Amino acid sequence: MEDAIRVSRRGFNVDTCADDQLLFSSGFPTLSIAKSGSFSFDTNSDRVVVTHDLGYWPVFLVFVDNVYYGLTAKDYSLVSPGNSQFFGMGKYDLTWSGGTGGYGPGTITGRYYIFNRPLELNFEAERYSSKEVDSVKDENYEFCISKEGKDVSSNDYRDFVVHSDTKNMLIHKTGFINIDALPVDLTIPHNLGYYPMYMFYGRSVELGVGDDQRYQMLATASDSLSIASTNSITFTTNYFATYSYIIFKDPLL
Amino acid sequence: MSKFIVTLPGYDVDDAEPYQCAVHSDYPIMKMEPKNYGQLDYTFPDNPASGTTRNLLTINHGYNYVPASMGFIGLSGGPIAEPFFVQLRYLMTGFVQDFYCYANDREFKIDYSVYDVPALDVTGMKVQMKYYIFCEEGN
Repeated sequence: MEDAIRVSRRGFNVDTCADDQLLFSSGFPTLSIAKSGSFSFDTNSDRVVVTHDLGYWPVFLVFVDNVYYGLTAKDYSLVSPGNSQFFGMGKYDLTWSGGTGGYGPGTITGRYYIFNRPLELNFEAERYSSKEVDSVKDENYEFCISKEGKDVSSNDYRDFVVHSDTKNMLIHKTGFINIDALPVDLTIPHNLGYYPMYMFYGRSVELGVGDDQRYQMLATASDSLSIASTNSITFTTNYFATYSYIIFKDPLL
Repeated sequence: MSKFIVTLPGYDVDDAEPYQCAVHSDYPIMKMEPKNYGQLDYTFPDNPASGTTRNLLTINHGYNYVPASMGFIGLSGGPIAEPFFVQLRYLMTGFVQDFYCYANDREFKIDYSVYDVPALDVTGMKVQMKYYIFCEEGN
């Protein structure tokens, strides 16, 4: 089905540009932020980091400082394979369950982003065009929506819901798979014809039961391996029973 | 208050959930400036010594706050040949070396570190790095 509304980024012709060069399309979901913020707490006790009350397991990102890795406190990265299982995303809150064994003693500081996107939702967008086109200089084109209370003339992109000068993460495909036999070796087709950006999550039986289970981000490490190819994503692991993936329109190459 | 909402196909704008929308003016989208995403390659001219860290990529993002960021890595021409991996901290499985993607209030970086011996000899290995630095601070 053709999308009803399609808006391109500045410099791109909406009729000829690739899907990932659009600002948005009514056919493509986006990563909109339901809640974000910062945290700082002592690692020695399990706790609720933040509540979200969405009522479903949402897509999320957690960044932590890197004192643990010998870097400075101002350096932040996504939680690493050694620690990601300690940040568990539930249907109503994000929790820390690492104790000092997960991160070492002391204070852990970080940021979280919780998105309006269920991890357990099967979806695949249409593919209109994957042929990237060159941008042209266009000073007269602008499409932007400022946040409530922010001026649309702001030069700070944090003040905007959407802005045609910036690129958004447009979602191509999401889904989840329940696996009751291990090891797992999944191939998830995307048929984009290029290496797409993607993320994986796992719902751990070690972190709760049923609806109380919690999702963690999955990474490349000794216990999980995800690899992009031009028409599929492969994922191998020996853990977890439910996997969720999100594949974006954006090409890695 | 006025709103701007574009729903996905099949959903009514009057009662759609936020995740059923392509755009909803109550919820900002993760955004990137063109200068803050891209792809660069690095080929190791030698094998870094144990106990050392080598910076492979540094991007001055121009913000005076720590932005959300991600990095992806692909390897070829060396002891490990893999297309793109999802990034968190990429551990070279079973070995004592890794790639590390992180941001501070000035820069986004990808480093390669060797912690101990024996480590794989990465001389000649090509690292393809895709970086995403978002405008969002998370506060």
